[in-house]
Amino acid sequence: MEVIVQVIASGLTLGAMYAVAAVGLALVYGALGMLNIAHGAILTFGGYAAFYVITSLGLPMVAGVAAAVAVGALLGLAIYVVLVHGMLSAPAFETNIFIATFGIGMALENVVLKLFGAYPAAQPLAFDGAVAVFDVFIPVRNIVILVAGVLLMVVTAWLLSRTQTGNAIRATAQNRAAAELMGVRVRWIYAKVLAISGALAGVSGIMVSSLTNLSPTMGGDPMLKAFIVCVVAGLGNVYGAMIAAIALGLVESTAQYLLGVRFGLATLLVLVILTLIWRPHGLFGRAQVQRL
Amino acid sequence: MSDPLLSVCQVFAGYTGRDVLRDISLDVHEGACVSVIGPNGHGKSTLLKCISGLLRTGGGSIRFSGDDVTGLAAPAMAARGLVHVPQGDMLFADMTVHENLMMGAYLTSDRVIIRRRLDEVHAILPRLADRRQQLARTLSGGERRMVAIGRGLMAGGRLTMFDEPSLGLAPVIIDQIYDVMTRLRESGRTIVLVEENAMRAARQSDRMYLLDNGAMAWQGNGEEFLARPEVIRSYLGG
Repeated sequence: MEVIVQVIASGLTLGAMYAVAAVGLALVYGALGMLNIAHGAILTFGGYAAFYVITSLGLPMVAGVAAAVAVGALLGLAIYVVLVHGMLSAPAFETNIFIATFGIGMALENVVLKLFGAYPAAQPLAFDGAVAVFDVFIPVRNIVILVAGVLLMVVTAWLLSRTQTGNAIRATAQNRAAAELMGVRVRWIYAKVLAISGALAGVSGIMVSSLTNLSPTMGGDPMLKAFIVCVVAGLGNVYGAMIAAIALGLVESTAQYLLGVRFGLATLLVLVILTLIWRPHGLFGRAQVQRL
Repeated sequence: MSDPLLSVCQVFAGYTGRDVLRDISLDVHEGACVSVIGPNGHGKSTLLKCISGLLRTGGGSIRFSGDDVTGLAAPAMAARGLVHVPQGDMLFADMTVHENLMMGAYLTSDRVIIRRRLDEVHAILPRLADRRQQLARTLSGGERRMVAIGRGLMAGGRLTMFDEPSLGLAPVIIDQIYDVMTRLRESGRTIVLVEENAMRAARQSDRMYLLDNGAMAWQGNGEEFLARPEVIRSYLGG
């Protein structure tokens, strides 16, 4: 019993963390067909922004969260202005932007390295203590991550399904030309999508670093996990990514318990391969039928 | 005669350097139904895309409601009240019928006006009221066409362009769609209709333009067209 609670608690924490990172990635892919490799670096920036505001400026934790959100959103917006805007109408956008964000990601990572050094630092925005559930002590920070993750998913789902901006984002993702005919200024929508995705990445950076540490390369692992989640869910499927993230978090923690920690990632990768064999467009993806 | 609402003047256009439209001129007056007919692949849809701003023109000018709108992008044209119901419907497949209709009214913020337009659309296309919560991708071809038309009407535009509203539908559905066209025309809307079926278009239109191989081959009103069977024969094969 204790073990099951432990595995589920740890799985849900991982899942919530992956979900926040993956939804941002899925949102951008869904709307623009753009795989944003710099997502991991934005996440790193978010973690460090909170660290800087709280540790160096001595501001309260709320300011740290706000800083992470703001820095993430601004970086997302900057990627739109610097890269996407100019490349959008050029041929082979999806390939070009993929490579361009790869470069931007490396550059951002090195900016963090230059600003904060290579040594890992502790994330000050973390909660100590533990709560007993069925005789198992679950760290408060895990619970906070889970609650924050669920909250962010609810907000994102509400934004997408209930607001005018959300409708425009979904419409643009489903049929860009038709959205333009409705009067949607799609470039503005793309900028918003990248800003929202960046803000989510910023928060995700706090979550990730509160469980481990801050380091310039910390974005790599969550970026990989978020990508795995998106591939399993079906690239660009936001709601699918939410479900897949929680499921993969549970699978990973189960595998870590049954097989050993080092088999966590390997299990996920096996799952990706199986998914791609069984359903090439992902669990929730739909095959694009081209009628000629 | 007053100035036309839409005036296309000597427009050239094409894709990647190849001209599809050559020297096209066309006028649409307020309250009129103008149809553009011609065989498949001769530039009818391209012309509509140029007017609605989905495609840039490579020469010539377009005036709408007295303003020069040449080169304006689609969202700006939509904001000016020009509605384009595109060929192949181009619905938002993973949105419900209702959400699709509401996207049509994207630029309208007044809820009262949106409500009134929605009631109007439901009155003209009652099937859409029954299918309100259904995803667009699960609809039949005829229902999809109705959503596309309804979505266009939700914009409440000053001029609405329909690109082959009968394309690919069963004859009985085509009759229904044309009943809708007749009602829209009778309600005083300004309409541009692209059709392959010239006889059907002739019964609807105040003025007809025949597009052949990217150029205007003939223009006149519906009766003139029906009185000249040789036009039909030579361009449309009977």
